[in-house]
Amino acid sequence: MKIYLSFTIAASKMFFRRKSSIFWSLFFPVVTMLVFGNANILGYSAPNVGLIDYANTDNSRLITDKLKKSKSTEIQLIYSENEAIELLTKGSIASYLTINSSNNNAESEIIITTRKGDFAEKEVVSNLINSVMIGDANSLEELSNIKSNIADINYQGYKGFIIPGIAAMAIMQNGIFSVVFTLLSYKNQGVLRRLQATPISPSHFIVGHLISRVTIIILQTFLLLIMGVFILGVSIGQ
Amino acid sequence: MPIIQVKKLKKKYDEFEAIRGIDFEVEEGEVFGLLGPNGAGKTTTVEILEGLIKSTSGEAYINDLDVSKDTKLVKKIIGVQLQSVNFFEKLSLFEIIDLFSTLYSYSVDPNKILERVGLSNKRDSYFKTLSGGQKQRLSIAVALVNNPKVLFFDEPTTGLDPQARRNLWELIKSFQEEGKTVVLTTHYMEEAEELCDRVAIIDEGKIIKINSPSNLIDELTSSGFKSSKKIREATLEDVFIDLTGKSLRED
Repeated sequence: MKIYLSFTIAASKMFFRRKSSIFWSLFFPVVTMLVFGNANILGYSAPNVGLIDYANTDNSRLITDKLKKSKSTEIQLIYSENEAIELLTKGSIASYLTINSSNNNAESEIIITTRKGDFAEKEVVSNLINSVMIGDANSLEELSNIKSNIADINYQGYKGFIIPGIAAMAIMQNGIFSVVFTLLSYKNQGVLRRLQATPISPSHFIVGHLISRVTIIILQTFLLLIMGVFILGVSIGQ
Repeated sequence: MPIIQVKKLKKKYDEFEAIRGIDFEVEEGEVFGLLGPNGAGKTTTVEILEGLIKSTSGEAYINDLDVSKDTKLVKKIIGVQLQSVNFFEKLSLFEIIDLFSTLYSYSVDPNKILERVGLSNKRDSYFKTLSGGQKQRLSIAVALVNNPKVLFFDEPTTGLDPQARRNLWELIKSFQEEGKTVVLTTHYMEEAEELCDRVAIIDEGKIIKINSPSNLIDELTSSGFKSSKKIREATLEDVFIDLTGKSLRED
């Protein structure tokens, strides 16, 4: 037991004393994550907009057709609120429209639902609807009431991909470089041969080394997640 | 009762026979030299005794333990210095000694061992910063962590300057005074003459002769051998030591 511990401590000491290992496994992934997380690599693309037509009148169908012809969005017909919320959570649509009819004296209306923080999407969709309305104001009088609604979804978008991605990359990189390369260099230098001359079994050395590396990898992942939460503002565990 | 017994030891690598039937015995407290040109089989013989490689056939015993069966027990009572010395680069000498003593489940004071080999002032330096002679001395220090009965030194002085070599000789002599058995390989004849009680001369995987250095010289001279060189009172190495002094340079 003491032998495992000694190897674990020795391997960790050697890791932290090597500047290149600190750079590549701690500094490099953090910087990469912050740079890519803040740069909007995907850029702007036409948002996919869901559409639920509860009214199903001539007018609402007219609006639907007009929206479909528009090039600035991709309209996807949806038939229930639950489905819409699900798509919104997954990120396959950026917002959805609900067309309600004027039953029971309630005014007919169009509701734009977007996610928290997606101001740009909301703007784009409401501008789009306005432009469609202006083109055919008369027939659309009854649908002139446009409201907006914010769904309680904290969509992480690109950052939600980049953080787990970089964390996974860092773990793999540590697995390859810091475990395999270290062992290979020990073999080439003859360090393993010297250990072979002592009465321990290879598992003592391997396990001690692995415990040290797994601990370092956990530490590294925590560091990346903490940076992600506090600097890039993603939320974890929802 | 000899502490090391080697009987009909053979080692074959595919087609190549590294050693072809070696027999010798080493008494407790003896310094035994294995001499021979490069590729003669010195290192192979020593590595079989150290349990690093398996012999193809034959038997080897250290302290009555079969090297091929009780390898772990054998490793516990021997100290090993390998031909190519290398340790963890980013550990201090103190940490290396401490780590290795744990591997033998033996508790020692690393400071004392480092003092013994003259490296106390380097206890906090990393291995990679040491000079050749210092690396050899560390390697010997590591061989001492389990207070071994038998020490194996494989070409310990190759590549060292005369001062460092003499320093190692003194160290090896001190082990003999303590009653430890030493098996030494070398291709420096003056080293074997200086240190070894008996030497075995190996060539092409076989032992040609085993005897004490002085007996071997007597044997040769009595057969009518005349050295082509004039025997002088001193050698060039004596001149070198006289001019540069005996003290180690690297510290």
